[in-house]
Amino acid sequence: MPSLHKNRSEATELATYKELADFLAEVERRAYKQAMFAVRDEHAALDIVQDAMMKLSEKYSDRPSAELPLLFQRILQNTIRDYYRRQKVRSMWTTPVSSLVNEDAEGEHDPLETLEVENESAYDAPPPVQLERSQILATIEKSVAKLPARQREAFILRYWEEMDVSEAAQAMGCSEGSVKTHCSRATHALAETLKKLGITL
Amino acid sequence: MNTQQELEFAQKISNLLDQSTRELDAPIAAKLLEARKQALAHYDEKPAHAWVPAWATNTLGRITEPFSNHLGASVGLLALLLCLSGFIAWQNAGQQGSEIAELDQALLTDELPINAFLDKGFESWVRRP
Repeated sequence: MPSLHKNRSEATELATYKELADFLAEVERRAYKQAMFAVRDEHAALDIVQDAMMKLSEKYSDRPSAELPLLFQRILQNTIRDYYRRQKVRSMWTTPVSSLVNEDAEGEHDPLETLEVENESAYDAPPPVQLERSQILATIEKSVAKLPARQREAFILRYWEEMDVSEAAQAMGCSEGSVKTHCSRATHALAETLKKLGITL
Repeated sequence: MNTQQELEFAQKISNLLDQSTRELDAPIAAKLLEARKQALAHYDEKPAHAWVPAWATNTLGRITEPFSNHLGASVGLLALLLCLSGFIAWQNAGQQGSEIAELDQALLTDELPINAFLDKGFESWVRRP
């Protein structure tokens, strides 16, 4: 209908193709990391991000561009939750076997166990000196991934996606109070983990 | 850790996460770019559709879609409706008939009190509800 298209082009606050493209380009990597923290599988994380981007592009292209971040976060989290649900159904069949086989192979992995001491003289220095930057980054990512799901979501939305408390609450579908609690717990948990590993920021 | 310290710590973590995100492996970055291109290829410029809640379009669509494309099916549905209304009308007509038949039966089997026939108000007695 031509009239509708006319209205649409007049309503400049709606997200245009370019705005959507720019938005996706800006968030895709963070979204991938976020999915990675949640599912810890490269392929699954890529699939999740692709699904989320597809849904946003297909169904919500008519929404104002200011709403895109919140919408995208909601879609992304729902997609991650769908993945969990499917995994749960699948694991109902596979757990009895895989728990016997893979338990030891996929056990807890501490990055400090794999660190090598480069020379004797540095042996007494605190661990951070021995840690390379990339290893610190990897350790932090791992610690974030280990957080309970809701705490991680709250932490990422509030501090990484830089949403305010009410936006994060909307994206997570919970109260503002819960967001604050989750954030605070996540921050304390991260601080404690890094302290244990001897990493100071 | 007070709130200010929490905030500072969280910002430091966020900065580090940003750093590692910037250094994402090239193959993954390429796959993400591909995924974005595919998603944008599905960009849909149909605002009229999207204003309706998704479940409503889906539900209505699911109910009406099978019939909208098949003329035969809709003709069949119409015929079925006609048959049903005809049957209901016939049922009602039969019910009226059976009321009269019951009255006749009572008259013929002498179940009426004899005075009823002498009563001037017999007619109204017969028509009582």
